[in-house]
Amino acid sequence: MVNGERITELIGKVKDLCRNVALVDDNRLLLEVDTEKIIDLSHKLKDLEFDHVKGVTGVDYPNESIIEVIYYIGSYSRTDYANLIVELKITLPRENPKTPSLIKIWQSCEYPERETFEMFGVMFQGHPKLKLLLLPDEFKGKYPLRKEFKIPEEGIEI
Amino acid sequence: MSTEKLLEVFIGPQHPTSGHMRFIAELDGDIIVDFIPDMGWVHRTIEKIAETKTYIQIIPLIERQAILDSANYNLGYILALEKLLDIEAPPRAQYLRTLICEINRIASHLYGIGIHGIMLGSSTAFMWAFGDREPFIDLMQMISGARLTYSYMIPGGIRRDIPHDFQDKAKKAIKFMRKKIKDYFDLFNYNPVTLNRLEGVGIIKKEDAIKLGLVGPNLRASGVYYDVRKAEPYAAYPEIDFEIAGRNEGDSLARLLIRFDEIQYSMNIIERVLDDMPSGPLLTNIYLTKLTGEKKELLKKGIVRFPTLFTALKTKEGECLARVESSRGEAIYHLISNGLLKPYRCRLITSSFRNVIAFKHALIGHKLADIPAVYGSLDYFPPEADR
Repeated sequence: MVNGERITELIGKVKDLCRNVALVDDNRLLLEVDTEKIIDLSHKLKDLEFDHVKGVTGVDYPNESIIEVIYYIGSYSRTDYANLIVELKITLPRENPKTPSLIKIWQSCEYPERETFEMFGVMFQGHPKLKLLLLPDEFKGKYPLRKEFKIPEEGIEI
Repeated sequence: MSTEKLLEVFIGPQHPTSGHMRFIAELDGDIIVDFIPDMGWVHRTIEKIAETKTYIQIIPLIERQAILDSANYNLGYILALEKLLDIEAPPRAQYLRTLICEINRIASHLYGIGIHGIMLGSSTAFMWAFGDREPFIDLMQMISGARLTYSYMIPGGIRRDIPHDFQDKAKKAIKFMRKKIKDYFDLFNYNPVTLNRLEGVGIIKKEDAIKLGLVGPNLRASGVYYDVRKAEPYAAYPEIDFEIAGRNEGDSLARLLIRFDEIQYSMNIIERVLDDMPSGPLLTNIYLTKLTGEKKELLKKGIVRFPTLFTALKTKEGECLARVESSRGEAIYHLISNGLLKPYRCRLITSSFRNVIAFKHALIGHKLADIPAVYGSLDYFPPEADR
């Protein structure tokens, strides 16, 4: 079980590399980080036995002209971190968003990063196969989960 | 070895087994040297559609990502929504949620076992599993009125109480299944044909399972005993004493057998839930007081009609992450709300999407003929992964 002490200890180890650290819920630690430091922070988390990425999410904010990318990171190896999810959040410009891929650190982010690429157009530099995953190869239009993308309608609704 | 010797084989996407999915296998002779899962054939942009629906309309939508396992997926969304609404379901509702999730887990595993059986050429296992799934589906129908898509959990509670004869029917189904499991072991699991095809095939070692970030039974069959029901208990799981299944071999046989273990443990949970079920309201008090007239009368019969405010349900501004252990593993929901009628972002991370990476790993070095054995053992469900 994660108790307060564990989290305080964890925050102490990573806070130098982060722009902002917050405990958003009982078991959710949010680390906001700059893209330049994400590799260092990821290595540090990996050393602390955060051994897998549960998923990667993008969130589009057209008004602020940014895209947020969130990595959900967890640990199977340490039972005292079992209920903890670390959210690693980076903020990217909406025009030409790019960030280093973490696939060399966590192999498990291969498919999630690819999905975030096709849905939001975030370029994960160093990812070996940044191609469409869920969308068909002949898909036209850009980035379905960005806010300006409208789902084409067939006009059959009455 | 030059690449000219390699043969590229396309498998699917015309429903190779449990859904539309394509594999690209590179073969040297009949040995697999590269195996690429190509997904997305049943992608329905559920996350995008969710941004255009109100919070209540999303409930039936979200179940469609895995209709076999709709109760668990329904619950994960409701847990995230309840945190945003700052409400909690009363104890009886929590127990009933656990009950329906576990019945659903049994039905879902039996589906997976049946599909695995037919992939190995054992039509008996297929027929048995699909037949034996019926009593559990009937139980769900008794509670919710639907066979597969229940939409049973609503914010703050559940839709319906169990009928008075439910306990007996459930115990009868469990008694039947316990007897029947022995038959599966005699005729299918320990059949020399099954053993030859599964034992030592598609091994995923513990460290690889961790590295690949697998979830659910596939992870626990490789010796990592991680289960969200224990790691971060929700619904009535904190109050119930239960075991989680675990095996260490990491091969296809372990992944088949662990599903039988889980069926047995789920039946234990169902018995405990039925025995310890507290009495009390089905809906949180804030909403109960809003029910008047006919709706109040129906409540006495155990039927919850939606309070009118559900049509314009608004949450506070903010975001919330919730997770559940679905039949195939951990499912994560991230809801971001800007205080309006519809969510700003509704992120779903499903278990099959996380398990798809296992295909790339588990089949390398095996023969082409081993594909069905390993594919079936991973219990991969394409609609769940594609969303």
